[in-house]
Amino acid sequence: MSDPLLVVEAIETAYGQSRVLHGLSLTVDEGEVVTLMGRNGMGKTTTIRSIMGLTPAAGGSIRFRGREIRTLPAYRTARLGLGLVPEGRRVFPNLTVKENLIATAAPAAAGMRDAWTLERTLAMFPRLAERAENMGNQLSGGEQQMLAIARALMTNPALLILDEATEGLAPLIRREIWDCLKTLKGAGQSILVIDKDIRALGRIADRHYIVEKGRIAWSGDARTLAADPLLHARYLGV
Amino acid sequence: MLLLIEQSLNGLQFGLLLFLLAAGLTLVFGIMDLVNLAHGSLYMMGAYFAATFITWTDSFVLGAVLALGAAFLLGVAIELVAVRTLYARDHLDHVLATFGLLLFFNELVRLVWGPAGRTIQLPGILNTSVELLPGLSYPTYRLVVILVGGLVAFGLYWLVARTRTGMRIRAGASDREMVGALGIDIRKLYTLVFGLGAVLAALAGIMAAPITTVSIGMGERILIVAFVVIVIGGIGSIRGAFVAALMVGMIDTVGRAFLPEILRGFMSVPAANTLAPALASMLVYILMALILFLRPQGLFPARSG
Ligand SMILES: Nc1ncnc2c1ncn2[C@@H]1O[C@H](COP(=O)(O)OP(=O)(O)OP(=O)(O)O)[C@@H](O)[C@H]1O
Ligand SMILES: [Mg+2]
Repeated sequence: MSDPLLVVEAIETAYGQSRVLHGLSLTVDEGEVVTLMGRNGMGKTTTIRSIMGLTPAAGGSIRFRGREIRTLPAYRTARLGLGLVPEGRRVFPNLTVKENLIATAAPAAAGMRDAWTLERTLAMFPRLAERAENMGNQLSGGEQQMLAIARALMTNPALLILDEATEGLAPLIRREIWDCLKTLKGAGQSILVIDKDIRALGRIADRHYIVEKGRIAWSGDARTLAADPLLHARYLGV
Repeated sequence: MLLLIEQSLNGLQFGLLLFLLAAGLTLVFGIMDLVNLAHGSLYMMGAYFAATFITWTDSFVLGAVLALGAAFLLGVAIELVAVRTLYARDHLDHVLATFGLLLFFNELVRLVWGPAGRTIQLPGILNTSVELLPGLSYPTYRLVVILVGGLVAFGLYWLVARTRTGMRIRAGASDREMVGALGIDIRKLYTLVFGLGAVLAALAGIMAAPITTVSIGMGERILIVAFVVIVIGGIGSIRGAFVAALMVGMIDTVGRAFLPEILRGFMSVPAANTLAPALASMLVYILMALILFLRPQGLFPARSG
């Protein structure tokens, strides 16, 4: 068996004096779709921020393809192949859709099949193609979310990380986004995804982690999660 | 009528110089959120560098180009040594620290070049006039300033609006953390932007030098007007800085030239002669107040495009 793509080991992260993560660990294998679930404020976004180097973890270890990245600044983490779709979308409002896509685009690493180019990305998101010359702040919420995903894909990431990519969107748009993730998975894309839509996650994910107060409280595969309604009640508040 | 044309050309030329100075200021303020009072020092250093390099090389153009290179290196050095540590601090710290830099450069110039000012002699071919219209001859050098200023303004617009570097600069103005999270070394980009701003300020100083003189404090006087320009134009907006710089340059120059005459139309000559200069120097501030009243964000608020 090959080494996991991403190994997070016992990380500790704080905002100033307030500690949020207390020895959290997880792994993502090549080609896997892994979820991070948990109630509000449990530390999911903080975990992502630590991995990316946006809020560096003070302790523990984060390895990407065997390389220690815990203390790297975000831009170097991103260049190693982590593509972030952040909580709240954060498209650049003062850039056009097309500029949002090409401003930070990066060529695919050697040996990667089917690199994401502007053409291919726009073919995957026809709505964005229609709005290519519109400003980021002229898009609807759903379109902004697609743009945030497309923008991350344009960096040709080895691991795509999505934080609440369907939050606040209409059911039809959510469907579109889940379908899109399914397509990506089919193409072999490794994905780490945070979402509150447990049923949708159950359909596409290989493994799940449940975060509780800065630690992993439970982890397991999709079937185990589905079979255990107690888990839902205890950790997910549903 | 001929006087009006001539003064309008002077206004255009002054406006373009203002734009060169304001462009760097507005980029640095808009993107890095840094208030840089030392920006005028780069204008002054450009002029002093040019005075020295032109003497050494005995060529106006070569000396000017060397001075621009030196200004770039100086700008990068200032960013790496001093300014970089300021981004995370608040505006009061920016003002205090960059005011310190300003005093430092004024003293440095006093030490190296002495307290007396310098003049830069124009080469023979630039020190001529062109007859634009019958009866209207205009200094060749000022036409060259207009041409160079216009070209640089166009180049800068192209850089910011059309290149990937420009897209990243604009993206950084709205969400710098996100630009970093997508793989861009934003600190390096900031250093480059600061260096670019230094080159533009120095270019303005160099081009102004043969018209005025090279002296300590030359940067402060024009920096105040450059701040007026970026506030009118909308902080962070190159387009806004361009439009505002031309407006300010034009109103200031034309106002100074024609206000006495206009005032004499409805008041006594001595009263008009006293009031006109005072009013003329206030015109740009009146313009700023008026525009801020109508559009508090300036003409082209940068963050929304
Ligand atoms: N910038 C910050 N400064 C201080 N505390 C923060 C900051 N961001 C988050 N926190 C705190 O850290 C804890 C974990 O927050 P985090 O955003 O990681 O949770 P989350 O699991 O992503 O929640 P949600 O489902 O609401 O997005 C919360 O208690 C939150 O209040
Ligand atoms: Mg969150």
